[in-house]
Amino acid sequence: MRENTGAIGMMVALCAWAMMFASLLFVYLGLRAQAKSWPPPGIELPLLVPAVNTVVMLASSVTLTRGLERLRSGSRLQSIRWVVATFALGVAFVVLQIALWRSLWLDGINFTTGVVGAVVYALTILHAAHVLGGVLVLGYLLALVVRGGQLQRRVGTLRFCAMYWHFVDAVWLVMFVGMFLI
Amino acid sequence: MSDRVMTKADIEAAEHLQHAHVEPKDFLSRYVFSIDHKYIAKQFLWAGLLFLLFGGLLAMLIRWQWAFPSQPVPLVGKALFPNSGGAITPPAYSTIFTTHGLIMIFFAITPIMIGTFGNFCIPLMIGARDMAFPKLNMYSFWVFMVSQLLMIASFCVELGSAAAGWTTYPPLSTNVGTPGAGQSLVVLALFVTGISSIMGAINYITTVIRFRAPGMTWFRMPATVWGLWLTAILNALFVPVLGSAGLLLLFDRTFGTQFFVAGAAGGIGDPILFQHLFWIFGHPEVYILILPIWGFVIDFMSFFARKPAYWYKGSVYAMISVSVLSAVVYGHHMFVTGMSPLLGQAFMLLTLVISVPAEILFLNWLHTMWKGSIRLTVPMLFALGTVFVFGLGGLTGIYLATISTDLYLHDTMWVVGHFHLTMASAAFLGSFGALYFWFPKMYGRATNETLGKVHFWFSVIGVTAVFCGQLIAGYNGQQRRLFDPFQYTYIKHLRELNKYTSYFAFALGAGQLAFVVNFFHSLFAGKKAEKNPWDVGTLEWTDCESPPVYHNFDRVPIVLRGPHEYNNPEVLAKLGKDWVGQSEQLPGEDIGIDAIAAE
Repeated sequence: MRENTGAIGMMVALCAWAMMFASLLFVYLGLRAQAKSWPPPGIELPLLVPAVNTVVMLASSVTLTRGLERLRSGSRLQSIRWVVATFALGVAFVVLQIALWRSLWLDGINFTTGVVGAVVYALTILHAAHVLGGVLVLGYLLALVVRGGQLQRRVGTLRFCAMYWHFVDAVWLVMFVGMFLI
Repeated sequence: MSDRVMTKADIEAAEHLQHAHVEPKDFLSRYVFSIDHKYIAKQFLWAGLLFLLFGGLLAMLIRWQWAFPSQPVPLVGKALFPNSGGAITPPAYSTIFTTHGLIMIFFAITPIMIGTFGNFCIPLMIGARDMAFPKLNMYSFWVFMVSQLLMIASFCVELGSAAAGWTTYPPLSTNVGTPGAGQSLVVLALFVTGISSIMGAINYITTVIRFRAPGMTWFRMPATVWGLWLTAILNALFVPVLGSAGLLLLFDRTFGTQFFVAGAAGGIGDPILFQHLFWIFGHPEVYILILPIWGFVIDFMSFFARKPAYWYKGSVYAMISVSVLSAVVYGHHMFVTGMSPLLGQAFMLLTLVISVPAEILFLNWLHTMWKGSIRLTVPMLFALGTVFVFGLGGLTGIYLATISTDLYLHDTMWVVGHFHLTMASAAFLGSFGALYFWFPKMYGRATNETLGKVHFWFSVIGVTAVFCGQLIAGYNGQQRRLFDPFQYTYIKHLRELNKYTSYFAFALGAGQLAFVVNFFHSLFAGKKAEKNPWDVGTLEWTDCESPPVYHNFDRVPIVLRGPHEYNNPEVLAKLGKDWVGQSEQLPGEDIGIDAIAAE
């Protein structure tokens, strides 16, 4: 019962977050619609790293779902393994994003490089910060386990974490398709 | 019992869902980091009242400048503006009108109306023991506190606080237009206060969905709860849009990005995009600031006319449709930005459509009073005043919604008069009405009726005169935000009008002393309040002491009827009084849960 209350609260929070990211993408669309060409001549946005990261992100959603399923069916050890996998994939995502920013920076694209630089950095950094937030919560849960806590008592937390994780995953998909693919 | 059959399981589930918190004994968790919704409500009230005073004094300075441009401000001038001999300087003036707007909206009305009454009324009126997430509720207040500190800090930095107008339009709000840390701090403060609002909204929405007492169906909820709930939904959905706009503006100001920087500011971004985001948030925001007031008024009309609220469901549907429509009308703020005429006409039509549900609400209020036994208590007077000023504001809005007239009235004092009547005056009077109404429940003491009436007449005459004065000035062409309007030949003849408007504003300000005296006197030396001084039937009056115990209800109440049962002939015959509580069982009434009653 209380878990459902929490789930409703989480849904409301995710709606708020969705509006925030929608507004950011609205600005991107507005700027891109007015640009003569996108990206501007001489600037090329990488595709490989974001594509790999999309796979990483999707995989992490699958592993977290598995972890929650296993926890519900009572296989504690398997569940912890899946959560560790998700944690690792989340960290990998952030690391790859940093590599992406670094390569962009070395290509001479920075915050002030027209609106392209502004959009790409601001949107991906804000998104990566949200992934990092999810990673921290998973890390906190794992730390509890390491200290001998029972993950079973945290089914609710893991469920809300999974809701949030899938949401951040979906946002990344939109960003990947909207910003890097087309 | 037609719309829901209650079972024993329902009632047990409600008790299980909301186990009573134990009242903490130590000072910190009782008075500072409290998780009790009633106490958090009081924290928001104090914070909001202090900022209301601050914002009000800023308004007095603006009115001084418009009555006596560039003359030394009496009493405080020498201390505030030492370099100009006590007169308001142009930069100081920009800061004053900018922060007046922002403080009133985000730091005065929002905490008083939503923070205080949302927190206090929602759990008590739906029969819950606390909010769904009490800790989140506490964080919501302390996050709000951080944003208050940021706001105050902005006044202490070099070049002063924000000065780009409350709308914070770029390029004026970029580093080129408003250099200095003050503007950045204020934008950050808005972002942080937005987080606090969203936390509150998550709580309000979830609490109403999950924690209604058994039998408290959606249409048995008091209209107050409906208004606050719809407001919370709009808050959760549209405050993030302002958050995004603020974030990107902060990036522009601190990291040199060019989202909104263009033209003279030397970038290739698009400042109009900021206006889009601002008003996608901003238009729902004006309904955020009025929906709870509509809820209060619907309830007060019924409570004090001693009649059922006329077409209560219609009023609720009207509020719902306004909430939905509020999301699709924002373009009427941008008619003069070069918007496509076709798009403009769509926004005009949608905006004018909002007057239909607003009319329904108005007619329902009037019908509720019609042939009622009206009791002119202080809350009722404030509710009537709210209806009056909101009516004036609504009618003057039609000229702004219509493109052909808006092109002339845009950016004049007409706009200022209009939105001060609708969202400022109505929210101001409505919130004070609510405060006089729930004060006995909050603090367990009655307020002074005479002082309350003095406060009411000063307030209602004051706001009407001041903002109608602005309407007239605007209709005659006086632009808003002018430092010295009378430098323009065509406005010169409005000097006397502005002067008298300012006198009314000073009287309005002075009249608030009646409230201050009343508030503190009642707080410390007021008569002990009865449990139900207004003879109304909602749960907080019938099932709680004044003030309520820490866990609100010893047993979660079982709700049997709607909130507006007044002068019901059956009740009159059976109980001999003109009202019946929502949870009060009539003699011989079958409530369908004998098993529980027997326990």
